[in-house]
Amino acid sequence: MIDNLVILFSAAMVVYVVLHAVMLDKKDKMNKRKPPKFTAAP
Amino acid sequence: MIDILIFGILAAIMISNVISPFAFAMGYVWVDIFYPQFISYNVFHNTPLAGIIGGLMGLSYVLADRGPIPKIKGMLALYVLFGLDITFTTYIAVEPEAAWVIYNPAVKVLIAAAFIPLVFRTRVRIEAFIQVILFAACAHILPWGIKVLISGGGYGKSLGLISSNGSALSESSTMADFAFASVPLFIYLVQHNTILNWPLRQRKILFGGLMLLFSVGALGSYARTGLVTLGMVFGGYWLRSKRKMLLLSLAAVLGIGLLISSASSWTNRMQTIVDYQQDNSAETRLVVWKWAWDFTKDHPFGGGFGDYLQQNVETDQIGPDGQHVYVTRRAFHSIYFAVLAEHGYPGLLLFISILAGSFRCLYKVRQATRGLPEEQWCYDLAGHLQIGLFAFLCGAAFIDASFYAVLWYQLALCMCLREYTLQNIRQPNGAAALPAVEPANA
Repeated sequence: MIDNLVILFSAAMVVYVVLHAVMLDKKDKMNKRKPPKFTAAP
Repeated sequence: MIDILIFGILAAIMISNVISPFAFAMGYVWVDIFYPQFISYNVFHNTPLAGIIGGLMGLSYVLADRGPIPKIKGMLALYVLFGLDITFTTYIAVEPEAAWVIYNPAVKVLIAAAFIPLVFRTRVRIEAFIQVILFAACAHILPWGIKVLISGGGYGKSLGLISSNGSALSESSTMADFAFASVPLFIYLVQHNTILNWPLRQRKILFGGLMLLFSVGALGSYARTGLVTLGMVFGGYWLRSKRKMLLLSLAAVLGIGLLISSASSWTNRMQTIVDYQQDNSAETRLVVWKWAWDFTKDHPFGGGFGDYLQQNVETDQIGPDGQHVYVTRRAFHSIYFAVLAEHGYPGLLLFISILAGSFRCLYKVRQATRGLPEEQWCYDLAGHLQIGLFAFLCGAAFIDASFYAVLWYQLALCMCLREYTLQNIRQPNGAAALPAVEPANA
């Protein structure tokens, strides 16, 4: 019982980390690809 | 049920790899620490998961995730040389059959450790790497912590997820060593975390709770190695602390509390760290280490993996039959003596060079990121890792963990940080941090 609960917790956290990490990584790459914004000088 | 869960994780990793091609690398790390093949009794029991995911990881990197040319060439060269050395000693092994069996996972972990800095090269990826290691290790260490709290621990008890010594973390001493050595990484994850970007209080509850259960599990295993590691972790933070007296008082209170609340069997066992002559297991280690030293004098290039099978040493101890006790086929119980006896003087030199190189990486990372607010996470992580890795290596002087993933992934993390700073921070004196140059195909 304890073992199964721990495996479930560990698996849930690993999946959460993996999914969030790939999303953030994708976002990082998208941000780096964006052309720099040019604003007019005041 | 377990097989469905493992399948679910693998499916999530595969889907994630479509979004960003470093997910297989996280999958490989998870397989290497969690050991699904030891936990599953059906589909995945005989599936070479590490080989399959390792292949996909390499393919994914080559086809879609190649980064800039690595700058940690010196460290990578040491890994290659050490890999060549263990291959050579396996060819000349005195116990060839056993040697090739042990060589297989050893060389895999070495290749993976050398490959990891190429993949985990941004802050998000490095933090993901740490958390996959720790959450995968949770599956093995948390059962110890929870069961010790419920029913108490004990020497020789099997309270882990895997009862036999099937994986690194199923062995109580290695588990205790890593449990305490991971405390600095937990502290880092409370301080900085881009992935679990929850409110600080929630992070404190999650990682503080895990730290507590890891510590309870390690103490409840009665492994003396754990106490050595705990001492080193405390010593590391104490040296860095500005409030040394306060920390010392706190440790004294906790120590006295632990002595009062722990069973006499625990204190008796810990006492054998000092009175090692009273303990058979501790004295046997000394005999085995002396054998390793003498063996290397005769075999300067080492006897290859599994050479301890040739051990047959008469000791001073007298058995119940009135005869001298013989120590035969005992593992080395020390990474340093294991590497010395198995891979000889060149192997030990390369191994020590890798360890020293890893600490140098961390030192350089701290130098390069000191005073840079944007890179504070890197500075802090290197600092915590210095303490955790040093403590782990002190504990590992009493366990056979020379080719365990939990050691090599910590060393790989040092290279990841160094590679990150070399690629992203142009001026090591801390004047300016520049963004990473992304490869064309990324």
